[in-house]
Amino acid sequence: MQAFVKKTLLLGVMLGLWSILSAQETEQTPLEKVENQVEELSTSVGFLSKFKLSGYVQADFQGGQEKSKLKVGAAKSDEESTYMRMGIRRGRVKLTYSDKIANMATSGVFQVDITEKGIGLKDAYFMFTDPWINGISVKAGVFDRPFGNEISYSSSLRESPERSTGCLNLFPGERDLGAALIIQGPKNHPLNGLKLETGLFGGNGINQDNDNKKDWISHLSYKKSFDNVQFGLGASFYYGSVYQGNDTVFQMKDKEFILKHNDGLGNYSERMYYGGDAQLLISTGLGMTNLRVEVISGKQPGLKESSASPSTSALPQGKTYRRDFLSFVAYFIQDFGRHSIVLKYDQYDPNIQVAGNEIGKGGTTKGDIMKQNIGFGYLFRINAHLRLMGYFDWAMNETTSNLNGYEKDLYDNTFTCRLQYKF
Amino acid sequence: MFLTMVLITITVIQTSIAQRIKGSDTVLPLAQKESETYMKLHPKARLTVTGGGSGVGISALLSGTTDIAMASRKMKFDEKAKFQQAGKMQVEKIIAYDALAVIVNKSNTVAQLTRQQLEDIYTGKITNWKQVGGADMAIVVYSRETSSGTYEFFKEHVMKNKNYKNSVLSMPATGAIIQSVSQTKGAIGYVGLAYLNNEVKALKVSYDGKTFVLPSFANAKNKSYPIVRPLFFYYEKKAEAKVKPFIDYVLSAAGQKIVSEVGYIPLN
Repeated sequence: MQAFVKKTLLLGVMLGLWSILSAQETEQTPLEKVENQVEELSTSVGFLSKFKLSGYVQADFQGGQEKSKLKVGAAKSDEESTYMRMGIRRGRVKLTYSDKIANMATSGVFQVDITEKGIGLKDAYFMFTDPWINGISVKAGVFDRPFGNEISYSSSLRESPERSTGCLNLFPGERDLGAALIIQGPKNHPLNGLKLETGLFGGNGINQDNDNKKDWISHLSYKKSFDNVQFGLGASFYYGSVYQGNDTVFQMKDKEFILKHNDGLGNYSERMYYGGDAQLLISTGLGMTNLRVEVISGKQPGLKESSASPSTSALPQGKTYRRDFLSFVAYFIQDFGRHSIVLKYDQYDPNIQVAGNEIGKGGTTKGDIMKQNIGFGYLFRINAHLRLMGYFDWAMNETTSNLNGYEKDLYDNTFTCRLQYKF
Repeated sequence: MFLTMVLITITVIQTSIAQRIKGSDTVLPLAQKESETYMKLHPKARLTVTGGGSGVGISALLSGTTDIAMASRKMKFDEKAKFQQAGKMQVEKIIAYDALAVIVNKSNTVAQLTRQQLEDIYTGKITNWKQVGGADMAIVVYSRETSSGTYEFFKEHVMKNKNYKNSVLSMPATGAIIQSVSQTKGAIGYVGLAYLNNEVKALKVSYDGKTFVLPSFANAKNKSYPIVRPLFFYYEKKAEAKVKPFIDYVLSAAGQKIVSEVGYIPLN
C-alpha cells in the first residue's frame, strides 16, 4: 500500500513537473508577444489599406435672375423675381477597394451623392488590369462615359460650378451603365501617354437599361509632359440610338421640321457625336496656366422643346425631333500662387440648321435656340482641403421675333459663391 | 539689448523646431551627415532623415508628412500640378551634384562601356558579357525601383527614355544593389558615387565612344565624367522660415565641405 502511495505521489510530482515545463515551453517572451502583436496589426493594417475613403462637399450660395434655374434650393416661386438660394450642390462620398488578385490589379468603386435633396448613386464599378503588360483593363458598371475631357474632369477640380451647356444636355449625369476596354501603354513605357477607352453602354444614364440597342462610345487620347509644359489631345466618337416611342418623327429639311413617314413607333433614331478635345498646361513661377477646349458635333434625337439625351428608366413616349447640333467650350485659368482667375466660354447650338428669326417657324421651338455662356471666376485654394469659388455666369441666348419670350436675351444670369471641403 | 534678445529667441525657436526630411536614397547619406553636424551646432534642433526614394519624398511633402523632400531628379509636371491643386507652392534648391557610377562584380573583366552599350544592356538587346568583350556569362541587370529618382535619371539620360527590359531586377535601395552586384558574377547595376566601395568595380563610361572616364570626385567636378546630375531639396514656401536655417547651412561653405566629404560634388 505504501509502495502504491509512493508510486502515485511520484507520478503526481512528475505530471506536475511536466505541466510546468510544458507551460514554460509555450509561454511567450515579451519580445515574442510584441512580435506577434506587430504581425497581427500589420495584417489588419494591410487589409484596411486596401480601402480608401474620399469625397468632397460643396456648399453653395447662389443668386439668379428671374429666368435662371439655380442648381441648389427650391425652384423660384411666382412672387420672386431675382432670387437667392443656398444648399449643398454636391456631397460626394467615394469608397475604393484596391487589391492584387493572382498578380492582377483590381479595384471596386462606389460613389454616392448625399445632399439635402436626397441620396443618389454616382459610381458603382469594378476594374481589373492584365497582369502581363499592365496595359489592358476592363471596367464595368456605372461610370463616366469615355467621351472627351470635360466629362471625366472631376467636379472637385473644375474651376466653374457646372460643366458646359452642351455637356449637360448631351451627357446628363455624365455617367452611363456599361462596360469598357481601356488600353494604355504601361507606366514608364514611351506609349504610356496614349490611351484608348472604348465600350458599350445602355445610353440611358445611370438608369435601368430599357431597350435592345447599345451605344458605342470611344475616346482616344494622348498626353505628354515636359519639365514645365503638358499637353493633351483627344478624339471621341459616340454611335448609338434613341427609341422612338411615338409614330411621329420629324427631321429637318430646308430649315423646317418635316414629318418622316414609315419610321415611327418602335424604331430607333440615330444618336451620333464626333468630338475633339485639347488641353495645355504651362507651369510658371506664378503657378499654372491652363487652357482646355472641346468641340462636339453630331446628330441628336430629342423632343419638341428639348434636345437633352434620355435619362429616365421609362422609354420615351413623345414625338421625336431629329437635330444636328454643335457644342463648344473653352476654359482659361491663370494661377497666381493660391489664387486663380477663370474665364470660360461655352456655346450650345441644338439645331445648326436654323438661326435667329428662322426659329419659331417651320415647327422649330425653344428647343432649337442657341445658348452661350461667358463665365468669370475667382478661386482661392485656402489649403489642401478648402477651396473658395466666386463665379458669375453671363448667360446669353439666340433671339427671334417669331418665338414668344425669346425676342430678347433672357434674364438668366447667375452668381455662385462656393466653399468646398475635400478629403 | 532688446533686439539681441529677440534675435536669440528667434534663433532658439528656429533651431528647436523638429524637422522631417524624407526622400531620395541617393541624397540620404548626405542629408544624414549634414543633419548630424547641424544638430551638433544647434543642440535644440531635431532632424529626422529617412529614405524611400524621390517619389516617396515628394508625395510626403504634398501630404504634409515631411518638411523637406530629398530628390535626385526634378519634380515631374504631374507632381507640380498636384501641389498647385492643393494650394501649395513648392521651392526647389539644388544642394549638390552627384555622379552615377555603373558597377559590376569585381571578378568581371570588362572595364568600360559606351552609353549605347549600357542602353542595349538595360533594354535587353545585349544579354551576355561576351557581346561587350567580356566572358561568356549572362548579364544580370539590377536597377532601382520605379519610385527612385535614380531610376528616372538613368532611364532619361543613359537609356534616352527607352524602356527597361522586363527581366530587370528592381532593388528597393542602393545598398541592396551594391550587395547583389558584389555577390553575383554576371551582375551590373548603377549607384550614386557616394555609395561606391571596394566590394564592387566601377566601369569607365563613354558617351562619344572614344573617351572612357572613370567615375570619381575629380572627374565629376571637372565634368569629364558624363553621368552627373543635380540633387535637390524641395520644401513648401510657407514653411520657409522653419526649414531655411538648415538649408542655408547645407548651402554654406561648411555644408558644402560635407558634400565633398560624403563623396558628392559641391555647388562651387
